Amino acid sequence: MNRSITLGHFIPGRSLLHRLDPRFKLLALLNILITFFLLETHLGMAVLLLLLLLLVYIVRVPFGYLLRGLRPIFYIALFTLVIHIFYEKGGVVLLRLGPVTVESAGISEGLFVVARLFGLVLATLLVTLTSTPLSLAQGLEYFIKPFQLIRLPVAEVTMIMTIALRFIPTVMEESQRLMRAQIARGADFESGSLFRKAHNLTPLIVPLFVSAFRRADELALAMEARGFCIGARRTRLHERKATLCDWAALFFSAALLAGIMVKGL
Amino acid sequence: MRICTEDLTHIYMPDSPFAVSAIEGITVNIEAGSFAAVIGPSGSGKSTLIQHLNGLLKPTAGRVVIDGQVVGENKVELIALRRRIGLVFQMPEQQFFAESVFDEVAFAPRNLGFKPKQVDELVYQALDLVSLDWKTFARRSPFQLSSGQKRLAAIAAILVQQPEALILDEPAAGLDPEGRRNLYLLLSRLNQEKGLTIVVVTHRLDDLCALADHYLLLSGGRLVMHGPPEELFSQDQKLRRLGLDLPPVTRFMHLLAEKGAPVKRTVYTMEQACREINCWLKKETGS
Repeated sequence: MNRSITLGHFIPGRSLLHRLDPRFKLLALLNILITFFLLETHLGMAVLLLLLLLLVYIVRVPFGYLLRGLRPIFYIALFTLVIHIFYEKGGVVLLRLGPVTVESAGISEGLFVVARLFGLVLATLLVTLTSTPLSLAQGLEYFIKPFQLIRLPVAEVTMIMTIALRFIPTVMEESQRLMRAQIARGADFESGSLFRKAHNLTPLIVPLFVSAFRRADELALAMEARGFCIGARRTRLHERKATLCDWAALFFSAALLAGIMVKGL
Repeated sequence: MRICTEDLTHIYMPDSPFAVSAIEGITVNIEAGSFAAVIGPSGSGKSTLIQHLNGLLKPTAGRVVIDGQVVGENKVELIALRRRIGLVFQMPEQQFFAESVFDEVAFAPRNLGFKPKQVDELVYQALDLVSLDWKTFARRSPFQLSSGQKRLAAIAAILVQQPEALILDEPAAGLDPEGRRNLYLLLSRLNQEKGLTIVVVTHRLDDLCALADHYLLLSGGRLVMHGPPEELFSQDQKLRRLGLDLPPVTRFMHLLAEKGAPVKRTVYTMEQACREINCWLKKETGS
């Protein structure tokens, strides 16, 4: 089967964001996230959101797919909005329900916070949509490298992360297959009390562990057969070299941050 | 049990950039008591197709009809249906979780709420059916069996539900010759003596297809050919285009025939080949 369950939201593509070095992408993301927190005016928020929407357009993500990624925060956003509307006071009184009032400052402040929330998630989504989990892990490796100085086994930690990421889809697919296989044998994973449900998971968990151990054994052998050795210096086949685009992205995001800070937008 | 599909289509992960249609517009008709083989190269949608037959997957379009009844969404009916159509997954021994072969096979009847005495009865019947001696095997750990025995035990764990039809996904994968022989014997016995409708899925044209009285050839999620196996084994060129190889015996007979020997090409078992060649040699020496 050539269908693969992908982790996160990654969409293959060739856009500008796809081609950015993950290290620079992460740094630029950090800049943008900080900018969102430092923003103080509605104008600044609107400009930044517009910039993000421009990026969405460049990446050419199907809009429905993007909305699905944003869905988990809808309730948080709604909750935040309601709280702000009723508790933030100031400006013109728009609605009076007995002792409770809704005032214009509440609405404007609420919308601002909600916009910030969506902005944060949208910016992060743009990164996870355009980079594979693996390349993000490699990007992170670069940033934790300095910790080698305090004897943190960085290469090993990254290897563990990479292997874990690599096998999440495999194990997910396997668990789905096992679930269907046990359902075909009359297993019931849905009904019953919580205790009953946990107990019913045995036919799923035991084979999953059995195959995970078998897979780990095989992988360890295969890695050793190819000369993997703990503590050895590892090199990469494709060393990434930062391009002009990478630096430009970093510079632009930093400039955005600096501009906001100086201008006080 | 008569199993039909009408214009069956399944799309994995619809409404996302990863949407893949695994099968498209498949209409098949598997008569009660027949032995059908679903053949196709990897990724042709075989496994997706059979998982629809007992309602494990829901079709994106089209429908499955079992004995004249459309398979719907009703949970109770689906559970009953899954009991009536046993589905043996690929490498079924990977589903083992119990401490003994007995518990493994007893999983289904216990889930169905049978009393302990009935469970014993059913388990022993099922082990008998697959020719595993329960005196030797019932108390053993399923993980300690040989690969052939594991496969049989896994099939027993499905047969214990006393299904009317049995669907097996690549049942011979990873078995040694003896294990394969035992498996084939079991399948033809179940089909001929017990009257079970049997559907096997395989990516190779081999002795397994020779057991079948009807084949369905899938390619790229579509039904390309179907009919009796003789017809299939005569289509060398077409099969090759689809990425399927004829079994060595059949290829050998094709070569013989090309060299001018008066033998039938549509031969797919050793026994048939021996008979054909014997016939030919007798004719040669006779004249």
